[in-house]
Amino acid sequence: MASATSEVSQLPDQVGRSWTRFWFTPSDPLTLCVMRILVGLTALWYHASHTTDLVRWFGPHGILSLRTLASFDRGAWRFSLLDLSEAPGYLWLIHGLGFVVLLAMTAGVFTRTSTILSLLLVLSYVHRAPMITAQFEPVLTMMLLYLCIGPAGAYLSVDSLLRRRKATPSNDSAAGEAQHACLNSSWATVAIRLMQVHVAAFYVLIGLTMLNGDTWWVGDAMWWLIARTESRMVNLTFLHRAPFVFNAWTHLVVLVNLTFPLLVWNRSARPIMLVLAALMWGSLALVTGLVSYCAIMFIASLAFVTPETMCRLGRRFQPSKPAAAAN
Amino acid sequence: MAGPIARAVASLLIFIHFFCVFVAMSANFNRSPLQVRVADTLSIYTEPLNLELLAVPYHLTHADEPDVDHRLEILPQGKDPADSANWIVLPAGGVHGSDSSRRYQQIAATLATFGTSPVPSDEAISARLAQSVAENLLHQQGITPQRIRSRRHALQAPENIASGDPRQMDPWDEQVYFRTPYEANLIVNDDGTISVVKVDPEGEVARPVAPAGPAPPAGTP
Repeated sequence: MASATSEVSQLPDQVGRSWTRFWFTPSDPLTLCVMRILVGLTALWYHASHTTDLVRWFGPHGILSLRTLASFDRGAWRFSLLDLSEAPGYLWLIHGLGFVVLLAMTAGVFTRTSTILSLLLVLSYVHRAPMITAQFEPVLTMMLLYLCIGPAGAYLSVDSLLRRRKATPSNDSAAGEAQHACLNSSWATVAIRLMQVHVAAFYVLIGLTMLNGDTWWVGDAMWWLIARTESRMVNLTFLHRAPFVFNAWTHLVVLVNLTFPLLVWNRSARPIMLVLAALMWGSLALVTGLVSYCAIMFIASLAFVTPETMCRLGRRFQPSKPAAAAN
Repeated sequence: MAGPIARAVASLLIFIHFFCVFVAMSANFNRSPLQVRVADTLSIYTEPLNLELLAVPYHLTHADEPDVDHRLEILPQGKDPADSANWIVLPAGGVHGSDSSRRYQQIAATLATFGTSPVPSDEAISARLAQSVAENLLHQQGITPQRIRSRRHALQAPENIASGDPRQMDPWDEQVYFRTPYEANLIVNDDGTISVVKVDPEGEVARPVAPAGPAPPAGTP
């Protein structure tokens, strides 16, 4: 009885220690740096997708000119650099600078500053015309937001290259190890944990919204996606002869979305869940044509890959000390 | 992180942040009045950071009307509307899976949704949007538009493919698979503006929308 009381009294302490360990144990920022490159490339893709239509959408006599937007309720708290002028020169200036900023972030030049500017840039495009945004943009801005928090330029960046060149060259392995340990950061843990929790919440949301309709319950939702003649990238209508296939596919998509946020935290189940996520998002990209969205969801799922695994996969970087926080 | 105070502050901020995120996420579909109210209050934080997910279709499909493909089509001046080959589908030469094509589909879906809404202010929004698309074509691409429409490309059921009926089996059949929830005639005015006259399904026409100026307020007869 006494031991039970003592366990209960220790519970708040244990929860507090677990919380601190989960969020704040310093960890290697390699995963964050890889995410910076992948998210940067996706943001570049998004930015480039506006190039052909920039003036057509936002310019004078644009489809979504400021006069037209006045008819819509865009919300009170949306700010966009593209709201300041419709002049083509101004739009092209912002667009061109946008490429510079996003390239700088991806390459890791003045990483913190360029990441914050990248977030502001992408938000400007999103807020300029929220009615033409969809599933992709909230995931992209979420990832950029968390990249602003951690040391995303610690590796694989021009910043880190310049830092290494400035540092005194030393072949002493102990000194190298100490230098490497210095890269471990609580902010890296906070940033990657924020990503992980938010991504897990996205999976829950996707799974629950799917189950809000009959099609995902009865197993024909994948067929209705296949049947979207103008969106799909591959024609799989031959599957009409094999309803069990699209039934199974539908149930698997729901299953992955609902189990991913639970099982991905388990070290043994994580590789399986990531492979399943890759297969799911890959297949959905082909069927729905939502390539950007499926790509960013898979990239976001990679936030669960530990720095050690990244090292093993990359084989170019020194393995770091095991970081308990990232496991 | 420096010390326990810094960690405590960070913990509090993380908690507040995720509270806002989870409220915004839970308000994605089938919102309760409480969720609407709390989400509205928190929009001062969630909206600028684009954390709001109001009605974003993360379910991908429920096979409802908004879940089908939409096409934005323009008929140039002097062309026969009965011949579907005369209609320009926007974006011309759009690539499947491209973000550009998706945005035009969303505009077409918005036209269809607002254009079929019984709320007068919604109809004004669809007219304003149609006017913008038409003026864009006129002034930026030099095409004088005569008519605009948003078409829904209905989904082909597995039974239709197996039916043996050639028209049911062809997903591009105009009569079987295409619906036109929104269509409007476009009148080019002398000053280069365009008036929009909605064509109702019964063939009736609605009142023209003023070519310039802000949208009429809700409730205007």
